[in-house]
Amino acid sequence: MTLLSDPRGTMPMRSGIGEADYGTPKSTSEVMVSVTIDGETHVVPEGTSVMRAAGENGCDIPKLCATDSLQPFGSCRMCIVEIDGRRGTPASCTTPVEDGMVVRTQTAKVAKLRKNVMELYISDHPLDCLTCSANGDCELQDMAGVAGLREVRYGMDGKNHLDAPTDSSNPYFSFDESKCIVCNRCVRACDEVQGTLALTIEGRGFNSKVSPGGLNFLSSECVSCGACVQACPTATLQEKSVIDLGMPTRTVQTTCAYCGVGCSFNAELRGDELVRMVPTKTGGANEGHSCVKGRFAWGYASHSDRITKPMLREKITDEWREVSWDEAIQYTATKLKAIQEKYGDNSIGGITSSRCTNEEIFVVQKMIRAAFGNNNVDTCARVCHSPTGYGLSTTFGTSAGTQDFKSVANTDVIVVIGANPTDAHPVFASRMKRRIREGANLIVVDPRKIDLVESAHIKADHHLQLQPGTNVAVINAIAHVIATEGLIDEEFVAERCDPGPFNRWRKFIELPENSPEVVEAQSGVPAETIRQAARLYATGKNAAIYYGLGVTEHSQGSTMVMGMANLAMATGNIGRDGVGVNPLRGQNNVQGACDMGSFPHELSGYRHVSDNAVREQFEMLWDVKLMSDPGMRIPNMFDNAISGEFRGLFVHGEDIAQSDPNTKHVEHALKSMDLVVVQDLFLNETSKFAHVFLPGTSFLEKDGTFTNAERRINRVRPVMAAKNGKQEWQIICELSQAMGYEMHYDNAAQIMDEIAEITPTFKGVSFAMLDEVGSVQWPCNDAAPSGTPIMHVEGFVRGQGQFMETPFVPTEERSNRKFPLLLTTGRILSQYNVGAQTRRTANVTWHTEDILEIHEADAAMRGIVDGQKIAVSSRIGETILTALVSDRVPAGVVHTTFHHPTSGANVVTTEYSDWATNCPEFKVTAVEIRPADSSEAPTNTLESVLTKA
Amino acid sequence: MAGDIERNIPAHEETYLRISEHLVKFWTPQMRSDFYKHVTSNRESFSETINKVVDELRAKANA
Repeated sequence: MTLLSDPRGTMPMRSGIGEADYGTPKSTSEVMVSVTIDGETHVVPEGTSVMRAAGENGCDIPKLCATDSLQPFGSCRMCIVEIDGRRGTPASCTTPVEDGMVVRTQTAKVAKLRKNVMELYISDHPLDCLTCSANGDCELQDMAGVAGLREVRYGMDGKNHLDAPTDSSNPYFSFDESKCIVCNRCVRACDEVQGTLALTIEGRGFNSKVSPGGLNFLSSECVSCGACVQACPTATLQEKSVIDLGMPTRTVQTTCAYCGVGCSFNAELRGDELVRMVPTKTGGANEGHSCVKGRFAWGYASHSDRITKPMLREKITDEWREVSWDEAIQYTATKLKAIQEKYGDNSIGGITSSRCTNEEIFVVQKMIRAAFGNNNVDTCARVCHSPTGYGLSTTFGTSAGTQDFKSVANTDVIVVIGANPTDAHPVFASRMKRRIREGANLIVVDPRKIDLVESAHIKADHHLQLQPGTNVAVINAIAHVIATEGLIDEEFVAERCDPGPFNRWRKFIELPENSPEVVEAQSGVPAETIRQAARLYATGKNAAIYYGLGVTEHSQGSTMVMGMANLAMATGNIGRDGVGVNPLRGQNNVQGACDMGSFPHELSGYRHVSDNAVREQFEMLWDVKLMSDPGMRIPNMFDNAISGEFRGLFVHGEDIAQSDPNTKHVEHALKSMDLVVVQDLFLNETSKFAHVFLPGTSFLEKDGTFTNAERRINRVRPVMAAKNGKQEWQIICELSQAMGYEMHYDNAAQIMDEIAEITPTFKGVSFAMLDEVGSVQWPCNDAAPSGTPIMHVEGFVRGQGQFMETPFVPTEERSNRKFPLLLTTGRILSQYNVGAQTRRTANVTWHTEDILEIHEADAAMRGIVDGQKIAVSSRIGETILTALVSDRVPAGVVHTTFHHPTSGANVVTTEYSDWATNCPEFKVTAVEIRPADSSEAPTNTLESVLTKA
Repeated sequence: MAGDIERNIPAHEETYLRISEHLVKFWTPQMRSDFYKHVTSNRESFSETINKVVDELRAKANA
């Protein structure tokens, strides 16, 4: 366990146990100035506030409205000081240090003024400190002590706010207005940190109060990120868990297990009970910010649905039977070996988890290669970012994003394609919004009018609202404009890119078929909009592309990734801060799953299994002969299961029956197998077809690392004991041993040591190193011992960048008279992927079911109204959803989420997939919608599946 | 699937090389073997490029 403390900070640490708060943000100036504070001279960066300069040098100036995650405000008047040569008592938070300045922080005049200020605050504040939930962690309480306040001369009988109501509407925190000192920190946090601007100050003077837009918190635009709670210096905004359980007393730093941002958190506990998760300021990915999921939705780890004992059944129609670990492991191994004996070595395989640690994933793929004796291992990246792997490794030489998240702070033109970061990567979206509000231009390419197109203080310069399935046409048109209007960065291309492929690409992209005028008819995006967007991207000083599954989950996902890479190379937007091609990875460790060798054709570090030299290294280290041919991808496993050749599957932390397309096909495959083993936290859709259930561990119980979307390797530390009694890597080792391949580690650190030994991009990584530096971005090796925030700086990983021609090949999934609408799928903020975690938390408050967004014209034509149950049918299947008439989707396009198994969104998605990687085409399904009658219900129950032919 | 690959790789002198590389890099031996049999017994249904890919890969596999 890591106990954090900061010996420099003597002031109370509202921002989290042990984290110092210096009151104002750090200056980034490289010019140094000197200041004398209370007789001692210090040198600080120009632009540092007097408050921060004092705090960093051991002299803490009292404060209430200042906190170092926010810009200074100067309202509380507690931080006043005297400065030689200046009149009055300026606020130290809003006064920058000047060279030679002489400051006195403690004078009789200042002390008297501070005491008077505190007296006013306390005269309108409940005096219930001993029973208040913030007792011991309240900055107002502390400042009263620091100011030496002993009496309130005004008495408590005057006008006050002591009877002001409490808003408890939010499931996670309450707002007790009676305790509010109107310091504005929460309003500013919602503005500056989160970027939602849900809070404001209503009224003036004595009647000023914090308001979530005149409503209560739950009904407001508040997204429950917790930034206001974190900023609040009193108990006004307080986590309900703290109110119920009391203040935490110790902390363990770990990493969130939701999205690919990979926020660092301090898990704060009382004894062994988790009280709250507070984002840590030193987190490289999040720098003290969070979203509703990581901040509050961790209760699923202790949910009553958790399975903690292994279970078996002979047939999937039998009841589950709890067994010992030994019995479960032996049964599994015996069955798997029997299958191989009967059907061949290739008849079994496994799927690694993108939610588990690098160490756990590494041993799963090792078990499959060494103990199963084949390369039939795949990962959920198959269904999300496998085209990123293909496209970026083909063009740049490595399949990962090129920048770190901070890079967006230096971007002048931000392009967001097929991504909805305010919902799916909210903490990164906050950074992006901050940059846009500073003046960066924004281009959004998406069929939907996502929040980034227009929201508080944000408006996209161009929204290319294209028809689903036409991404490549549009990116080609943008490139066509750049090529034909002389906007190519010829110098960059000549210096950094392979000339042969570039010349071929140039000839191809200049063809008239790629012009905006031709593409307008295909995509629905006006030619002039494409031209303006192209010029903006090409002429912006620093232009960066951020993209998501709206790019990859298409039949031309890989082509589109290469198209974006072409654009970045053609305009010289690679290899420095503020630019790049940035995949927004969905899952907390999908990057890690790919890094660890979860693909059937690659060992860890993205090296092909046929590479004799690499394979021999693994064979020597693992003392086993490995296969040199690629193994089966997930879709191959399903097809071969149905044809009878693939009979046993180990599913680690994935719910393929819910998350993979064409549910009926997946279920048919699972039913066809002799043995399905699921290792997970809860029973799920896939476990309905399982014979063995091995209980896993949540992130709060794990010891290991996750790698986020910016290649940042973060530590995951155990906050509570494993509820199942074992770490997941131990289960895998035992299974491997039972299969006949000895695999043993004393701890997870040893697994990382092995990864570092055998994987060049991880060479310098170890638990000890991560404990010392916090996190590191791979490659981390001799050439880059501190890691690599920005890739391809001096040259591409493959040497020269490779342009690839990207012909537009329309998907075969077309709308027609029978299925005239196009369905696309996505996520929302409060839920996460298949909802296994978030549906077991209070996040269901915001999203109890998957909703289908439909344009009013399409709804009117079909007699559909808001809230109505509707049948959504495709040529593959039908499901029932609830309608929401919305202008976020254009006519002809409908959109839904897939967080609830009862919705069966994947019952309707098709078998089409990316040509290179088989990433499913989730984003384009031809459907028809009709009102459902009240007797219709979802048809994807186990009973209905098993009784179908 | 091979048809999808061919359609997405522009036709020029390197196309068959890229398709061959793709099949060897990503397809299992069984998939390739089944594919060779299928193409060989239905040559006229496949393009010249695909036929060339199959002939060369098959020859390499048998060598």
